[in-house]
Amino acid sequence: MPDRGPGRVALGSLKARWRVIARFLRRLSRTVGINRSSPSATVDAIAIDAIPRTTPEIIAAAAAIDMVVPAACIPGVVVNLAILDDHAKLLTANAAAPGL
Amino acid sequence: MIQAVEIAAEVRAGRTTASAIIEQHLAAITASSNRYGAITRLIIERARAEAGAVDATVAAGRDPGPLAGVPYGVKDLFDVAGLPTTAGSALYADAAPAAQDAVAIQRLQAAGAILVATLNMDEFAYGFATINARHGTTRNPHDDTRLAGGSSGGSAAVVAAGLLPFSLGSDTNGSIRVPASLTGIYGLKPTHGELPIAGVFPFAESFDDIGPFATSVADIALVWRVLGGDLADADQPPLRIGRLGGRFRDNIDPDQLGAIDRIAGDAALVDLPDMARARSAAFVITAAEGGMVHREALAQDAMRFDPATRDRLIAGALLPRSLYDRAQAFRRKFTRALDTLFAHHDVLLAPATPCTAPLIDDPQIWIDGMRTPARRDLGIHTQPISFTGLPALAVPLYRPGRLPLGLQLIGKPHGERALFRAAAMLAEQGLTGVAPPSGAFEGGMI
Repeated sequence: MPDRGPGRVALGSLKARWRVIARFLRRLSRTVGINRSSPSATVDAIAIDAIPRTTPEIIAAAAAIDMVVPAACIPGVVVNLAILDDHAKLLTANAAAPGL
Repeated sequence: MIQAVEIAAEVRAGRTTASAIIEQHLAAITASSNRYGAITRLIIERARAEAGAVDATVAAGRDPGPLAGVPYGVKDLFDVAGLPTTAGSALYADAAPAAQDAVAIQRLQAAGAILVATLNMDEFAYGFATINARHGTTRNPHDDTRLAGGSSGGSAAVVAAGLLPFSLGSDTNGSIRVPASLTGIYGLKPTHGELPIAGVFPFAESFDDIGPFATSVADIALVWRVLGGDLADADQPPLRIGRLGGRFRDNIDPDQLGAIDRIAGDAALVDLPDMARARSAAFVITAAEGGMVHREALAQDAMRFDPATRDRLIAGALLPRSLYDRAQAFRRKFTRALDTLFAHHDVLLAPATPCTAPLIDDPQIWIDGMRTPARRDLGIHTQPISFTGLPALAVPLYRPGRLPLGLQLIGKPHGERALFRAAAMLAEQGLTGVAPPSGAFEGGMI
């Protein structure tokens, strides 16, 4: 019998392959308790807990908001998340002035 | 360069016609062959019809308004009735046409101004460079090998080149003040929420504002007033001008530093605490809000976005809610801290950009001794001010024959009138003012 499961799809287009991985990670994220947001385009919908940095983390975070990050975008997204992570670290460091 | 107030005065008095003015500017725009990559669409039929209506009003003995017959353009994110609102993106090139004009355009039309063009920008206003995958890079009229800045680069370039007396842009983190500084003209970011944003494609909604570019203080104040600027605060006490210190004096051109110290050398330096954190918080909020605006479209077809904005928007969409909340909480405290400074000042001085326009072929700048992307970091001095919602007016240092550079005059909430007074005073002293680039269209009455 030919394999008609995810492995067969993975032999197709790269896009399909990413979708399968994302679907798997989305299921995984539910089981480990990552919150899923509503699909409405408001900031209230941001509901994951940490800045994703690695490719698997990015795919999982995107899946949690029903997004598939195209493979071609991953390197650029990694770079931009690294920049945002630097800003996040600066933002959450001890304030220079009381009250800030 | 011919100014909006001069055109309106002549048209209202019947000494020239709006139609003649519009034809003159359309001819100049056509002759320029869009050499600066600033114009995305010309709106010729509508402009001619509106000019005819202004002329008919004058002929009937009525007043067409304070901007009678003045041609202008808008950044490509304002709704223009009958045209798709693209926000500089191929993604929306075939979108349904806007049913009506943005409120700002409606108010300008009611004042007699005539829309003739939509203008280039960074896709979705995400950048300080106006490098656009669909429309190309906007070039600086002072040196066309250099950037005009962004994201409202097209709006700045047409005014700096003299092709239009004024234009509208939007400013989320500096997108009016940065290109104004690099092209040597005036650009106003008003108090957050002061001018109508309805009908303008959003970027980061808790920062977004619209504002004008022009070549004189009188023009920029007039457009601001027509758009709905608050006319309160009629008395004019002496201005208390201060200088921002700290990071604002770290990444700065010596000419900017010299000008600031000439203007207010006796004033103590005002240090804003936690400036770096403010910029980081602004960065986080912008990324999160920008990402959320486009999340659905990114999920559907990310590859149709401009590569230069796509990956930034995706990254923003993936930021955690807790970080966004923390950035907003910091913002509230920082804004309160800044408000107290204005108990002692009416205007604070700071550089608008850290340097002159970067080369298009090498779009990098120096920040803290490191080369960084201009597209991301030209707003290092504007971003923390947007963060607070305070009004800020970019004014050009008067330096003919050299690449332009600007200062920011930063005011208290709804303190735009003090900014205009300070800008007029500096222009009178010869410290600031527009030095047109060679080959600029000079205009003139017909």
